[in-house]
Amino acid sequence: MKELVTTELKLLYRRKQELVNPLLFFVLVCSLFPLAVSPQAERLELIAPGVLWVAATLASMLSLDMLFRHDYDDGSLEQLAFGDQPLYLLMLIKIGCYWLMSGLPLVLISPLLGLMLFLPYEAMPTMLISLLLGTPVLAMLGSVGAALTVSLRKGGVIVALLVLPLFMPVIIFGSSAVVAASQGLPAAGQLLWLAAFAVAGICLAPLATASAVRIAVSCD
Amino acid sequence: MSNTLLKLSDLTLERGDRLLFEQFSLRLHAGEIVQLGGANGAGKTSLMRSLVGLLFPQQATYSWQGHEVQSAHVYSDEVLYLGHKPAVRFQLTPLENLRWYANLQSTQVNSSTDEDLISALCALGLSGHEDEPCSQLSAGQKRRVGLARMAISRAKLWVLDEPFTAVDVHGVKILSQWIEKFAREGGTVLFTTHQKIEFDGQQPRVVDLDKPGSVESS
Repeated sequence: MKELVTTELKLLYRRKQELVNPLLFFVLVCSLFPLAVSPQAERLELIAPGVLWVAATLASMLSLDMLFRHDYDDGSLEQLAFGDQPLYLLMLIKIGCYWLMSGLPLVLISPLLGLMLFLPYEAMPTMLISLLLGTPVLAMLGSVGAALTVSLRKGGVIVALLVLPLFMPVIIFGSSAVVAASQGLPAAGQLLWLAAFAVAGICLAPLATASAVRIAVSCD
Repeated sequence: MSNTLLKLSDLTLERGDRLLFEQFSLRLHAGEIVQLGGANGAGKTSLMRSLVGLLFPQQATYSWQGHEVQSAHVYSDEVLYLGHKPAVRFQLTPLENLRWYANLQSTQVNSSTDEDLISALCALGLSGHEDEPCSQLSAGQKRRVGLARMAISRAKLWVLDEPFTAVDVHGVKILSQWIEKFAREGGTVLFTTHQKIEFDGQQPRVVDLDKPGSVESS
């Protein structure tokens, strides 16, 4: 089991050019807003929570395709579905490693972008926690969409149409937590909701992903 | 022959709008080498994938070692399946690829120590390439990385879909020797190929999907 995790991390690390793209996208999108809206602090701090959350969501959607595409193309997905290890666990490992390499960097770079968008300092911890709880949910939900579309040659836009509606609750609670914190209000309620989403996602999404993978493999 | 390892009966399989099999039966005995024949599109790959449980036929009855089982998943840890696609990651080295496989299919692998994995790779002429990324290997060498799984497997049934593609004459010779040795020790091999393969001793039984006569009835 440990060996499977290290292999997965090794694979993702050697495909790092694909992992850097969403990160750059996140930075670039956020830096467009001061240019397009206004560089004034009082204007930017109003939109900062929404901009950060929308940009993080779109960025984490951007790399979803790499989650299963390579494995499907070279036949490894077939061996995963065929193997004697439970597919639920294998998917949990896969999505977990993927989040570690693609979602966590987004979370870590977000304080810098928060500074750029004049997000109040007292909202920074809340933003970090909300992204830390929210991006795993995005990865979990996204993995279902990625697995469902992996057998389609041109799945790019369909993934977005499938998963964006599912991302909405996460964005609502995530950005409203940051808004509340920047106004000096308590944000624990929203963060607890995000935590609940995360628990539910980690428990249930790999089940759906595993079934979707079985379907994808049998369509080949 | 007496010892039936796997019996598939009443197979009905549709792919898209085509009916590939209807009331089809196949019996595999222990210690037997079976070659699936048939033109492109005859359903060789679909039949193999239904046998190992990667494809869900509309109707089928499986019986493993005399016991009727519900699905192919029951016996999948006794089966080595090598598909069309080699399932070799280009970013990993041959040794890492084989180690990944040994950990994934831990119950049907003899041993996963590095020495054994390396000797499996060396047996297929990959010595000196163990730590090179697979993206730098040739197509035939990549295929060999996948085929090295045969050397560490202790499955009872090998299902090999076009294993000889892109492999040179010398490699084909080694593989056919492995297949023969495995069958002598009581294993069963089901394979497809469009090449002419010569076995020294036991000749494969040919099941031709184009000629219904060569397929025994249940």
